[in-house]
Amino acid sequence: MAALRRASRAWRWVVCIWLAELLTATLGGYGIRSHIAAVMDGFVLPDDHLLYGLVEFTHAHPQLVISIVVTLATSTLLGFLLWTVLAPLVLLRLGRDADAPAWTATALGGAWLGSLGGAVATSAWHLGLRIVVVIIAGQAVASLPGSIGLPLVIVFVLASTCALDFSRVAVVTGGARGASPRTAIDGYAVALRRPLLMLAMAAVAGAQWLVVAAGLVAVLRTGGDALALMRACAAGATLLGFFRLALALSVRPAAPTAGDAD
Amino acid sequence: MPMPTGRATPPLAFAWAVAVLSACAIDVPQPPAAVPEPTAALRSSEIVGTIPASARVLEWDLHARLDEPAHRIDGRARMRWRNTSRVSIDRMPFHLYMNGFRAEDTAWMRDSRGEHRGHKARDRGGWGYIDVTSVSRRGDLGAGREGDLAPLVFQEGADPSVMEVALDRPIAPGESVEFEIEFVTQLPEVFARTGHSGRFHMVGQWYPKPGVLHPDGTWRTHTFTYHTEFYADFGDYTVELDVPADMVVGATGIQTSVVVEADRKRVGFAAEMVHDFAWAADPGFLEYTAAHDGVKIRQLMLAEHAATHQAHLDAQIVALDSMQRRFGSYPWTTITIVHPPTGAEGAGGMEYPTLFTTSPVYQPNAAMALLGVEERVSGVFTTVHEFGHQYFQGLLASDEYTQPWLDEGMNTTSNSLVLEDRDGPDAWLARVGRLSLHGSDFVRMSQHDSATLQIIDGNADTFAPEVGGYGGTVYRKTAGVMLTLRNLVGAEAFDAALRSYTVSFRFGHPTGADLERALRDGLADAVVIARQDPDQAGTGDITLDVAEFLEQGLRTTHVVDFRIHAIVNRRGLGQAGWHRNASGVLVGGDPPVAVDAEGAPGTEGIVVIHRAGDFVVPVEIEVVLDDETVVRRTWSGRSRTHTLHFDRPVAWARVDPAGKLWLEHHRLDNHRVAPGLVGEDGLSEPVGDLVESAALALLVGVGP
Repeated sequence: MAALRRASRAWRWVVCIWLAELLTATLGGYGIRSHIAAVMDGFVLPDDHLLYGLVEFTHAHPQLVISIVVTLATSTLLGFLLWTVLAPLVLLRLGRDADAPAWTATALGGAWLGSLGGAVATSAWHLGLRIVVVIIAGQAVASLPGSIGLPLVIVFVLASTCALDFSRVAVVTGGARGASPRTAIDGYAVALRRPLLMLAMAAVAGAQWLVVAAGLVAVLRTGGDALALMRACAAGATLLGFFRLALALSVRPAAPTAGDAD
Repeated sequence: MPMPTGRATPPLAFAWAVAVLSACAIDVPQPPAAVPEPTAALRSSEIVGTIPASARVLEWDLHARLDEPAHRIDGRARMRWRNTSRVSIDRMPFHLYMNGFRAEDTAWMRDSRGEHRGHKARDRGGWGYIDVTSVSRRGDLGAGREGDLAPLVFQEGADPSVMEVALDRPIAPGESVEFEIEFVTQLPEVFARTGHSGRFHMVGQWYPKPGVLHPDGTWRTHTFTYHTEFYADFGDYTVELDVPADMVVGATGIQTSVVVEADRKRVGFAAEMVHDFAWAADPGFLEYTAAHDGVKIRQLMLAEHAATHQAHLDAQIVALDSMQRRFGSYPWTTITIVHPPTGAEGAGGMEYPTLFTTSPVYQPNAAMALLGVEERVSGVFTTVHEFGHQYFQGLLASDEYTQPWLDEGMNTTSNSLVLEDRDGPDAWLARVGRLSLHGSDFVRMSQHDSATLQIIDGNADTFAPEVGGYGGTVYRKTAGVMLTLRNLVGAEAFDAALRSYTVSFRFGHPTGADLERALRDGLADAVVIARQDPDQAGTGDITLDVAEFLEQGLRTTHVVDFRIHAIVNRRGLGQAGWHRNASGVLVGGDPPVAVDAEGAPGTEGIVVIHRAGDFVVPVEIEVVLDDETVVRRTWSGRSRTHTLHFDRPVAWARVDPAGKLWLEHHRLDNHRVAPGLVGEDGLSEPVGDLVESAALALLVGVGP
């Protein structure tokens, strides 16, 4: 519960990051809308056959497909970069105890920049490790039915996410060297040493995905009418992300480095 | 049936879970008690109707022994054939369809390169062929006499899919002659309709079949190429199949006997007034039977497909009811549905008299189901389509080589009508949540790539595989032509005209000309589409010339394409300025009035419609004025452009508002709003919302 309290105390940060995500996604959607609207130029879909309309449109203007793919790929990349960069900052904010003096902007910025390089480096190591884990897990479960194998792979990926969180905490709050692969591997070691914590974090990470997936399913099933619900789901998933990082902080080696008093 | 191999043994740690889940997953419905086999192959004469005396050309007595390990059939045929033409003949061509699979350089293999509908011949899968070892004529047939056998000379043609028998004496018009033919048929590993896969055997086009002699004495015996299907005369069959004792056999017609001797059994079948005989065998077949309206429906499937037997049965019953109501009674007492097992999918989706092969029903996994993915295309549609062939070629035995559209295209048309009877007009066939694809959408989608490639009314060889467009043209464009015609002239009139064709040509060899004549006769040459508009003085009724429509649809590559070219709202004309009065004196002289000034003349609205395609066809136009008045007009479509005038501003205009023109695949320019009016285009917002949602999901999903 302490972790949840930490996360909810940072609600302004959640809102800010959520807004940044919304802005990014909206820009991507705006590009697609503008593309289609410019081509339609006064014409209107003649009936409610939206899928056929899209087929006809993309047949005549295949570049729309490329635009959509680029938009989605860019979103993925931005999501990865955004959280690689912001995660140490969020950890610093979450790591401050309620009764501790607040960060000054200068101190927080300095601490963030001080740990940013290591956090980015350990994220990069984890990216490689995650690929290895997925390949090994995939090979291990290849002979199982999909209904068993796929969930197992998902569990491995969630465990990798937890390991990354532990490594980030070690870099940001413990001064570990992010550039060292050992820091990344230690993340997995911590995950194995604290299985209950890892399971809790994996459950939260899984809940994040489920919330996002539920929103996406709603949008698909309603043909785009549930965009507001999707946005709300994104807010919920972002809050869950903060919760997961707050959980990871429980393995920090020492009390967080307090900044200068306000 | 042995378990499939090639999978590694699951780790022991998970074996129990796999076992438990597998036990839960395999829930094979037990086949109910079998419906008794009918005693006659044809239904009662009241149901069947009159069979033309000239229709029964052949009598077959076939014996086949399956050497299962070798996948070879030793066959013997006694065939009595009657000369129904006006001339004597001295030669007799035969089809040897199985020889299409004999070597790389046969006409069929040259076209296909060992691939058919996405199924490929496997490396070292084995060739298929038919080797005729003797042909004899039984002579001097008297009452109850077995005549002497006279050996005949025979020779394969340039392509081995045909052979010609030289007769030792001419056969006069009306005379019958009996042949004895011995042959060996080697089945290929199945990838194109016929062959074997493991112990499954689908045996089609396996015996020598004579060509069709037309009344003028010309033979129709086409070379077997990639898109050619089949053409044969009607006849009666008595067949004995000698197979391993554990085989479950399904075949054309009714089963008449079973005699088991040691490890073999002989199964007898009889069929009447059919033009082919096919059979399937597998020891693992489960047999599900049902009876509906006096027809025994028999499904043969392995346990892997058993869960879907009810879905196929439901589809079969819907199709049977719909087609009997629309096209006349189904004349036979049985229909057998064969479900090819995994690995033998190449045998799926093929029709034979009273027997067809279908395909599996797509079973969406949990994720797809959650997304709301549903479809009515796989499996169930195959059953509807292949049963439809019982009429469109089984009963109306058109020449599938010369006019493939007459069976495939008309059958696809009939499939839409079956689905309409079940689900309503232009119902969805596939959907994701609220996003759906309808029958008209599938027709239109196929036209993007094939609308202008070839005309419909060409023989099968005009559709070279490397050019493509066979399915889009022969199947779906034909359906587009027919269903567009139906939408224009009205369902009742069209359905009655089509029924007159299907009833008139039962047990016959109709041609496209016969169908076109039936439609013209049934619909009248010029069908009134819209009466004279009282507001449009001087215009006559808008009519559709049925012959012209069919000519364009079947024998040109003209495309139906209309667009709203322009909407213009401009100031109307007033009385300002100088005009001469009756005395010739200039009077008036009012100054020009600004458009927005008080008392300015009203605004008039103009809509210009452009026929961008060459296909001439009447079309409806819907115009909404600024006061929300809805005006509907019909245009003959004869000129290139058509202009509509209104005494009020136009808000928007739409061509073909009811979507009647299934042949029109460019529809995004059919609906336009007036310049200056802000309105949603209906596409950019939902697509943008979908992309934005997916982008947001990815942004949040990959982090934090």
